[in-house]
Formats: sequence, structure tokens, C-alpha cells
Amino acid sequence: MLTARNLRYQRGRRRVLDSIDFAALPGEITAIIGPNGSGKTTLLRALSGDLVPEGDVALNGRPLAHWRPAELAARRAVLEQHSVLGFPFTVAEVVGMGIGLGGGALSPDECRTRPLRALERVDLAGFANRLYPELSGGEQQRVQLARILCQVWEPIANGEPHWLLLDEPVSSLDIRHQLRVMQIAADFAAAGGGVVAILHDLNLAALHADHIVALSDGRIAAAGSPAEVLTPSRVEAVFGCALTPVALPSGPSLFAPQLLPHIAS
Amino acid sequence: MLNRVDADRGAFPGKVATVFRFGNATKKTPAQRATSIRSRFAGLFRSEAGDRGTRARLTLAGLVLLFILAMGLSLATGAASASPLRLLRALLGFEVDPVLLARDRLVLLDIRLPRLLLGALVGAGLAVSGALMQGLFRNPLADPGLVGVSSGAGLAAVLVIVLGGTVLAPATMALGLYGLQVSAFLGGLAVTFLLYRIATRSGVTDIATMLLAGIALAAIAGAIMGVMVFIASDNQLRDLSFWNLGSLAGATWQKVLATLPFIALAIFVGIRLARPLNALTLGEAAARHMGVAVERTKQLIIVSVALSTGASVAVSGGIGFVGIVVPHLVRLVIGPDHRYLLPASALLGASFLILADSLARIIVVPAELPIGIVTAAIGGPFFLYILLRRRSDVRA
Repeated sequence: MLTARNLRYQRGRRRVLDSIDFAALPGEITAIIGPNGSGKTTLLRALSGDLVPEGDVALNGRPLAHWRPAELAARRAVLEQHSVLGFPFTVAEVVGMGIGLGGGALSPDECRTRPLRALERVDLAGFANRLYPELSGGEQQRVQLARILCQVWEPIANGEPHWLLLDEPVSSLDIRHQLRVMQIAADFAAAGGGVVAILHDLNLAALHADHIVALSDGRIAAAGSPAEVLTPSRVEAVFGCALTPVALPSGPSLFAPQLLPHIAS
Repeated sequence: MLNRVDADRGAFPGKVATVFRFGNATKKTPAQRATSIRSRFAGLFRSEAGDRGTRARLTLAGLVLLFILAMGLSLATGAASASPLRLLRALLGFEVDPVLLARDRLVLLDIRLPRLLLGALVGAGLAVSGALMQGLFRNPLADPGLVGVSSGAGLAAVLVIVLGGTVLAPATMALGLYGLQVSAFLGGLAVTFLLYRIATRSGVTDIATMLLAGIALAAIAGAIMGVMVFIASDNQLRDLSFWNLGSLAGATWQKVLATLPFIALAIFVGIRLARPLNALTLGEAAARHMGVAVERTKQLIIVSVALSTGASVAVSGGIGFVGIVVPHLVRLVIGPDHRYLLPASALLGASFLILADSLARIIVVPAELPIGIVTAAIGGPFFLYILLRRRSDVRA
């Protein structure tokens, strides 16, 4: 369980998070959706321990502050929205950093091959020798995903679930790799791990998420299954635009944008 | 073996020129030849999987060799003629001229060896503090000499030289042999800490702010130094100007022993921090997510930079650019992995300063050039070269 109770966070005069109660279950993909500036990234940063809001955050039943940094790193990995790299490391070196610090118990063979297998999973086999700064934005994003997969390789260990916290994991990806990354998240959840992901694409959320939390102005506007949250009226209330639901022959209904009058004319 | 090939058919229509060539029958352009040589040696330098570890270990071994050669060369060169070989033969039990041996012993053991060791310590210390600072700021242009850390350390040293007998007497008495080093360390620590506080906001360091803050801090230190020079006595002025020239002259075993613990500790701590430093290149938040105790790591880096810069500045004054040139060269060869970068920088820095000092001693025999001039003459143009190269890079 990854839970937050009564979170409040103030930045300057602005209340970025207000009375947030949040729970993500292992074995599920929990999607956080909401318009720009609604507090999605702040919530994810509170869940990962980057900022300390008022209220309680607990991972696997234990308050975040009670975990030692290395213990926490072995149980949850975080994909940031923007990544920086100060020096021109190779792709393999960047991915290897994921096991760099907690790698004490791993065999040398595992330390060598795990980054390569992680690269294969994100469809970057053969990129190991390339210099990271020379890659495209989408390729860099997938390298970072491979790095955090290296960090929490097993979705579950000793009965304790591990967690992936993803801030817009598909923002720079083409459609093929968007689906690939969502499949990695789905596999991780299916194996017993927990995934919390900020998504902008409502259709991707509808297709993959087990649980959706919609934020609006730092408050939770709706939470529940995709079918409960992604109704035309709720979506219009949260995002302020009208969408047309399109029912698929099987599975959930998706959204198509309505043509607005001034664009149509 | 010899191959018979027909060449330049097109150039001589109707005529067939026959030439003998060694080896491959096909002709190669120089560029092709270079590529084939590179690929033949690629196996040596690059193991599969983007791991530059093998190349790094080979480079480290090469640098150890360079370090030994530099030490030998430095022992054998200088204004006075003295032979390290004779000393070695005497140590091994061979008969040698006792008068010459006594002179050799004096020149080599009491003058050149301490100077050599001091040079190695200072070079290693400056190079490692440069590499650590660049890792901390995630920028290859950070250098203790450029951003005012050396000025802070220097100011503290000047304060001790001028006020050590009067206002600061209790402190210098208490510290004894280590007075200059400890105060330079504290001066460097104060500036590094200030710099980090000024230039870093929520984990992101603004490089322009850092460089400008460094200039401001150096100016303030310079102003106070000016006041110290103004009130210094004639004897103190002499001490100050010798110190300020940036020289390894006047190295004694005492100075070596006073410097050793500071720089050795900084290098040891720095190398222990290699993995957290690697993680920090992805940003402070990412490092924290990977389990790095970020605040503690940053504090240890700042203290290590101040330790080695302070101790180096205290004994050798203003030797610049070692901290920026050496780590940069190492990165070009083995990449930025701090596990190899830090020891390799220490070795190359030590060798570089020993060789620069040898050059400074023989270039204007029997006088000697302050070594700061030599390192600045090499480092200044090199710094410009890095700037120009970065400008043409898209995202470096």
C-alpha cells in the first residue's frame, strides 16, 4: 500500500495540495490525471518523499520518514518528468546507476547483464554504447525508465510489493513506445508490484489504469475505476472542455475531442 | 608478403603500371587505415555493453607508470648536478665516492625529494578537488581556483602570516605546525559553503550565478588581502610575495608532513563518494530516489574540496588550472565515471605538477620560474579551448 492522509502543501500563498487522501494498491496501476497546475507532480513528489507536506505518507504501512534512503530505494523507484545529466555518460552507465548503490547483494554477472535486459525491455537493445546526451528526448526518457527498472527489478520481494512512481512516463514517446511503456507498467502490476503514474492521455488511462485519481486545484475531484471517473460530465468539470465518448466494441469507452465552433469555421 | 597489383589503369590508358605493395592488395586512404587500426585495438579499450571499465583500468595502470617516470625525471633534473643512480648504488651496497655521495644525499633527500612529494600532493589535491567540485556542481567548468575557493583559502593564509604573531597569536600557537593549513582549510570551507548556498536553489545550481558569486567573493577576499599587505611589516611582505608566486620552492619534510593528512583524507573521502557522485549527475532528486543521502554527501564533498584546496594553497600559493585541466583530460579518455575519474585525476594531477615543476626549474637555469606561471600558461589556453568546444556542442 502507498497511502497519503490529509496532505496539505503550500507554495508561497498558493495551496498546491489541499486535504488529499490517496491510496494506491499493489497489483494495480493507479493513474493521476488533471489539468496543468492541478498538483499532480506535487502529489507524486510528496509520495516519493521529495517534499514534506503536512499530513502522513506511508509506504507498505511504514511512514516515509522512517525508511532509510537505501531501504526506500530498494522498494520504490521514481521516474522524473525532466531528467538532467551533468556529464556524457554512456547509456549503459546511466542504466547501471540504478543498481549502483544497492548492488551489494547482486552477483557481478547480474550487475553486468541486468542493464542490458532493462534496455531490451524499453526497446533500446544495442544502445548501450551510445552517449546519453546524443540521444533524442524520447530515447532519453526510455533510458531513464530502464534505469529505474534496474533499481526495483523485482515487482515483489519477500511478500513486500515494490513501487514505480512515474511522472508522465510517455510524454515524449511515439505511439508504439507509449504502448510498450504502459505494457511494462501493466506487467509490473500484474506481477504484484504497484505503479502510480501521472498521465495526460485520458484514453491511455482508460485503457491501462485500474484506479484513477482526478485532481483539480489541489483537491481530489474524483477517484475510482476508469468507468466511474471518466464520465463526460466529470471530465468536463475537471478539464473544462467537452469531449465526446466513443464506445469501443469491447472494453471501455474512449474520448474524442469535439470540434469547437471557432476551429470548425 | 609481396603482392603484384595493377594500379592506376585509368591514369595511363593502354599502359599497365605494375607496382609491388606489401600486405593488402587493396589500396586504403589514410582515413580508412586509421579506422581499421582503431577497430583492431577497440577490443582492448572497449568491452561490450558500454562499459568503459576496462579502458579505465588500463588508463589507471598507464598513469601509475607516468607517475613513476615523472618522479624519476624530477629527481634527476635541477640546477645542481646530482645523481639518483649513485645514491641508489650506495643504498644497494656498491662502493661510491663518499664526498659526492654526501652531496647527492643532501640535494636529493633534503631538497628534491620533499619538493617532489609536495608537488605530487598538491597536484593530486588540486586535481581531485577540481573533479569533486565539478561533480558537486554537475559542471565541468567548476574549479576551486576559478570560483574563489582558492582566494578564500589564500586570504586565511595571509591573515595567519600577517596577524599570526599578534591578534591571531593564540590560534596559531594552538595549531602549531598545522596553523597555515588549518586556517586555509577554514577559509576554503567558508567560500565553498557560501558559494553553494548562493548558487543552488532547490537542488539546481545556476552556473552563471556560481561564477559571478565566485568573482565577487574573490574580490572581497582580494580587498581584505590588500589591507593585510598594507599593514604588513617588511619581513611579512617578503613572506607574502614568495607565498603568492605559487611555488614549490622551499619545500621541506615538515611541509610535506603538514600537508599529507589533509590531502590524503580528502582523496580518500572523495574516492569513497564516487558512486553517490555518479548518481548526483542525474540531479539531487534522482540521487535521493536511488538511495543517496544527498545532504550528507554534499557536505562531505564541500569539506573535502576545502581540505585539499586549503592545504594546497597554504603550501604552494596560487597554482591555478590544475583542477580544471586534469579532470577534463581524464574524462576525454575514460568518461565521467567518478570511480575511475577520481583516482586517475589524482595520479595525472600529481604527474602534471611534478613535470611542470621540473620544467619551471630547468627553463631558466640557475633561476627558476614560479610554477604558477607554467600551469597558467598551459591551463589558460586549455580553458578557452573547452569553452569553445562546449559552445559548438548542442547539449553538453
